[in-house]
Amino acid sequence: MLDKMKIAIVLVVIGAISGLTIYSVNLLTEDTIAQNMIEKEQGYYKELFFLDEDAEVRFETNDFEDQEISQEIVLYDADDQIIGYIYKGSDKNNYGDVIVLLGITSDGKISNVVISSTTNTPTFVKVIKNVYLSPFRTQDVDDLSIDGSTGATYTYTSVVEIVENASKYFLENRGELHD
Amino acid sequence: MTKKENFLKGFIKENPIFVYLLGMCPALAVTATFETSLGMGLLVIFVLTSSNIVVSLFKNFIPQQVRTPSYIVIIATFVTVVRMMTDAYAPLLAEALGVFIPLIVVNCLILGRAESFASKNKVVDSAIDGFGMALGFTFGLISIGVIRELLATGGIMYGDYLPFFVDQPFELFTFDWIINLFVQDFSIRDYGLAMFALPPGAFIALAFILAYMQSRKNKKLRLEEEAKKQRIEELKKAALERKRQAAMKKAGEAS
Repeated sequence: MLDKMKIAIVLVVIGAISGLTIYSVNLLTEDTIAQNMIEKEQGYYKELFFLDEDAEVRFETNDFEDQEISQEIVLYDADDQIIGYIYKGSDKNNYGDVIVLLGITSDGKISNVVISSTTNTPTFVKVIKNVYLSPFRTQDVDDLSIDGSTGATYTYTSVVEIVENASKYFLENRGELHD
Repeated sequence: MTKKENFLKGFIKENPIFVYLLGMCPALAVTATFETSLGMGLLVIFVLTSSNIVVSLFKNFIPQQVRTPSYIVIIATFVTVVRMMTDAYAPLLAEALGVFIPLIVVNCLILGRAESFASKNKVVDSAIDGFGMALGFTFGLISIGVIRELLATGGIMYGDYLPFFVDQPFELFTFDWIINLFVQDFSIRDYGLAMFALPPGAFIALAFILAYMQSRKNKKLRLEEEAKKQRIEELKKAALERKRQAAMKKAGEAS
């Protein structure tokens, strides 16, 4: 009994020290990590509309709670003209989370689709990124054509779901632009 | 074993990658470039040295029954720490190494050193062992990384993933300047063997290095064997000579 108590105490102490160490490092790094993630995501904004890296842009963000689309970003150029709308959505599949950014121009055409972060199998994600995202480009949001043959992969299914949700949101809320 | 021998053993004699074939996952997966190899090596240096120190410090308090889980918790703590630090201060490296940072937890080398060395030796010796072994591991990764990057691109880049000491990525080494002495406007990048940047290239590069090391080892063994045979021959000759002299002496006495 005493032996078991000793083992339990040692394990608790090791666990507590580990927890405290991780907590302290987390406190030290969380702001920097969050800032890095924001910068990384903002880097995608220009990629979504094929803008130069040094292009001057400004953006407004609308956050949504309890919706399939978590964020809408309105991107403006240096003359305050709208470049387009960016929708951020996430989906959870059997292999983890997929976060996708979708750029839609003011006239309702998909500019680009980017997987900004995912925990899905990297090999499959790479194939989806390299091959299956480009067909979304220039498609009209109210007439999406989805490649059924790649529907079997979890990542692609998640991407399609987010693209469809974002398109639906755009049509419902920014539809007047499209018309 | 002296402290110096303890430190140096991991480089060639007991190199984790080339001799023990430990930690092969990162050795094959993240060695496409010199920089990712160096990055992974630095992370392993921190984790292995720290975990060896902590395991050695607490070796008398950790009950035998829960030895391995305790070591894993200790190693996992350090891996989580380096993961956060990399995410914060070298995000591009974190992205390039991806899942292989958390996978350091299950690197056989780290648990192996904790079990076989740190749990039986003093803190200073364990720290030296961990640091030396991790440097040997890093040396192994960098060797593969340099060969792969050179063959794939014809040069070695620095600054893409490790944002330390430089503002812009630059070429550490390239064959271009040598070739440009003879042929103008030639870029070796256009003629790189792209396969070496891909997974099969990792296996092939590792195979070349292992074959080279094995051939050196075989040559050394052969030389040792020859020297041993020569010594035996000399001893035999000396014994025969002694016998001959003894026989002659005996014959002289008899006559």
